[in-house]
Amino acid sequence: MNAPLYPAGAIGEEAALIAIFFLGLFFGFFLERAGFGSSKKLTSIFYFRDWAVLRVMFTAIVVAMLGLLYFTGIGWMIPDAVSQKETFLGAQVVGGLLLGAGFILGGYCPGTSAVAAASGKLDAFAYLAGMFFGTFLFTAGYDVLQPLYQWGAMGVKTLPEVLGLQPGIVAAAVVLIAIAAFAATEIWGNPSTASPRAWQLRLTPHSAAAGFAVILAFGLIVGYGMAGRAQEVAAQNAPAQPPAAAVGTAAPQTATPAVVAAPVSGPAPIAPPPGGVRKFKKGKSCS
Amino acid sequence: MNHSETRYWNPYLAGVAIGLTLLAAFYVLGTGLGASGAFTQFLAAAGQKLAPAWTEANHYLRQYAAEGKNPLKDWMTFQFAGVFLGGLLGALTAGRLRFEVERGPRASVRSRLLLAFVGGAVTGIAARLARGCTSGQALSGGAQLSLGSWAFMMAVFAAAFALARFVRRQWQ
Repeated sequence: MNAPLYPAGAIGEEAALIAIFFLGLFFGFFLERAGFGSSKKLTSIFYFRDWAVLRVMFTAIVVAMLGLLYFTGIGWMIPDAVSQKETFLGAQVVGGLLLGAGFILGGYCPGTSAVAAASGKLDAFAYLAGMFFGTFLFTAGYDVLQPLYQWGAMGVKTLPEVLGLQPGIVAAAVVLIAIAAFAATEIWGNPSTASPRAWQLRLTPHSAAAGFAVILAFGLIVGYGMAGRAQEVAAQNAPAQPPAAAVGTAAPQTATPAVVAAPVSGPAPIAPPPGGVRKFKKGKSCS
Repeated sequence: MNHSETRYWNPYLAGVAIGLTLLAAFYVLGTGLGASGAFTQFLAAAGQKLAPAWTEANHYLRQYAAEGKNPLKDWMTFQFAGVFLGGLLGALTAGRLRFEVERGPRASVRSRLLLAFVGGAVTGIAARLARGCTSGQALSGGAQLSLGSWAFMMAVFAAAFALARFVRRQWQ
């Protein structure tokens, strides 16, 4: 398996662009079905009325996180080919605070505003125009903003590295925190706005508990399983790397920093493609 | 309320669906989803047409609008088009496509549109500063357990919760 497909050279650029279009299509459709084309629904979390934003976001993060961990852990994906975002702690905290302010003032975040505009919300069009203007302001002031933009540059930094823990254990902790947050909002959340259920699926305390148990079991199994495996793999690969690098044709940046047990390299069967991995896009403009 | 309207999905189900879409993006492209970056591409494209000299000289935009580069042929713009059409498809099939200014009962149309524009502008600056928005940083970077993404996400919620009381009239 050569995955991720585009960086590993399994598909070309045209196919990748078509793929991302359809992924966007699904993303937009699901956002709409979650109710995120409505600014009232989106902002009601900030008045403790409707916890859909937290539930949808946290569930999505947990699903993708476990999937990534699993795919890289069992060797379906080349971890080095997945582009990791660099951390600029100061800039990102300031940016986050500003984006939160923009969210509560404008009623949307960028992705949801596109969905809302597509649903006919005229205020979303005003928000989109504002986004365009704000992006212009940033680019115009780019030179002046440099100190802020680069504030807290740390390179690629992940929570497992910072905490000095196995990724699997951090992932399991995230799953537990998510479940705790879901349970807290289900129990103490405002019950006056009855959240509609998918296909009339009733969310009774029992079904909720069952769902949580399943997620918990999955999280723990995958999390701890990956944690153990990552350790083994790291141990196996540590001595094996120098010869591999000597044979390797085009692998200039193999000097992977001794990351605390990040699943740095999958099990042996996957070799990087001969041309090295290509990144779809510079991480910088990625958003 | 329109009775023919499809109900919203269970949030956990919608979350799983979005999570799987995100995972598919990682699997196919080696990178997560994103939305705000499309605006950089749009701006670069507009700059190329309207103010080529300025765009070429701008240290940020010239990364995207260099000689012979088409900023519109980029995964961000393709994805943005997809999100828009996906939202349209969703709204149409749910009977939710309605032209309106969504606002609280005590908010005027003018104040709502003005605040939406201001909020958008603040977000536009913020997303470039943070190198991503709720999609690119919070969802995608969050799933990768990136330190900066989690700090970003906490900051977003902290600011929005803190400021919510001042604009309550807009929504409630």
